[in-house]
Amino acid sequence: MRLIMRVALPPATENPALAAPDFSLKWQLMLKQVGALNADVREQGRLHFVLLDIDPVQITPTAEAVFRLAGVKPDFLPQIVPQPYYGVRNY
Amino acid sequence: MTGRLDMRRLLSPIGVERFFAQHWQTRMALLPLAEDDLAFVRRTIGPLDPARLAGLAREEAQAWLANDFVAHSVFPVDPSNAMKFHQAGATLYFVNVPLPALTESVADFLGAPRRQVIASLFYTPAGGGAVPHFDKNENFTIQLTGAKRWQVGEAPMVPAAPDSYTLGSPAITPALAPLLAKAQRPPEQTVELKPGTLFYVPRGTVHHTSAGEPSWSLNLSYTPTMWLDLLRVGLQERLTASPRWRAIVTGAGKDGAGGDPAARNANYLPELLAELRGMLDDPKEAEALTRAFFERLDG
Repeated sequence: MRLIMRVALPPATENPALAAPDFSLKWQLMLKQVGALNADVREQGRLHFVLLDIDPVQITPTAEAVFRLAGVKPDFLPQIVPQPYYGVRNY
Repeated sequence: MTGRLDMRRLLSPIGVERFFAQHWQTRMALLPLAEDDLAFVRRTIGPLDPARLAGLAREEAQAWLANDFVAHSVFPVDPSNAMKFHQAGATLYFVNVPLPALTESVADFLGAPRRQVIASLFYTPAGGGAVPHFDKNENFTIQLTGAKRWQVGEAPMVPAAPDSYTLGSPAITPALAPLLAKAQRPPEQTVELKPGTLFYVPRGTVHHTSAGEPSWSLNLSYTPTMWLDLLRVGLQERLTASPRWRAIVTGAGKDGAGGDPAARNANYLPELLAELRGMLDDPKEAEALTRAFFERLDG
């Protein structure tokens, strides 16, 4: 099922691993390993939204990969897809 | 057994009169169920199959997951993935499963609108549970299988709480905020629920749960109809039908800002208040106002 994983990264002062020069590379590699379909970043890199299409039993292993790398627990949101619109004009 | 729950019989260990005098809306009550009552409840629910119940839930079926790596997350569940979420360690919550033989018995016993009482089921894995929170509903829980430990406040933290709240959460509704600001968390008691126990928890009472083994429980909850609702709905309906009550407020400003003297002459609020007093003083009119509420919900 399609889910959005939300990761709120703490300031690098709280978690030195985030300040490491290769963190960004490791982050990208981790996203690839968990099968991320897309990723969006907000608030100057603090909030990460990662689109996943995973089985429910993969949720915890995916979160564990994030936790091992960044030291934070992500939460998950269902992906909301708008209903198709069948208007006849102005669309 | 008559095909309905006999609430008088269920509450007989403490007595119905004592239940209303000492427990209703004020204090938890733990009651053993007779074997045939539990069997009736189990039979009425049918197979405790997550896929089946996910299909039956009228409002929604949810999976709650929180563990060493996942922050509390809620997922919508359908018949195809319910069992997978259970295998993933989630608590499954089937909201508003149609079980009229149970819900209508509770509603009729309480003298409550039938649609305000719903049945929901929890399937909690070993190690699962709920964090400290209180509900806005009056809750009757029947433990069906397994066991669950409840830690429950000895009294409501917020009496007659208008909304639910998870302790520590920044999400506080405007109606709850002033009540929560002066609320104190009462001491708690530990209650072990085993199959065949009925547990009443008043709304506004802090509770948290943990299951040492897989557990199914049934929750019969009454989303309260407040006395204010009873009048509000009827009054709204009745007054909206009147052109005089629908008219625009004129000449009624405060602190001398009532507008032009001519506008002040158009202020007929005193007449409306007199009409309202007459309506509320007339037993037939007052009864009709409350009837509107029940007819709207159960019609």
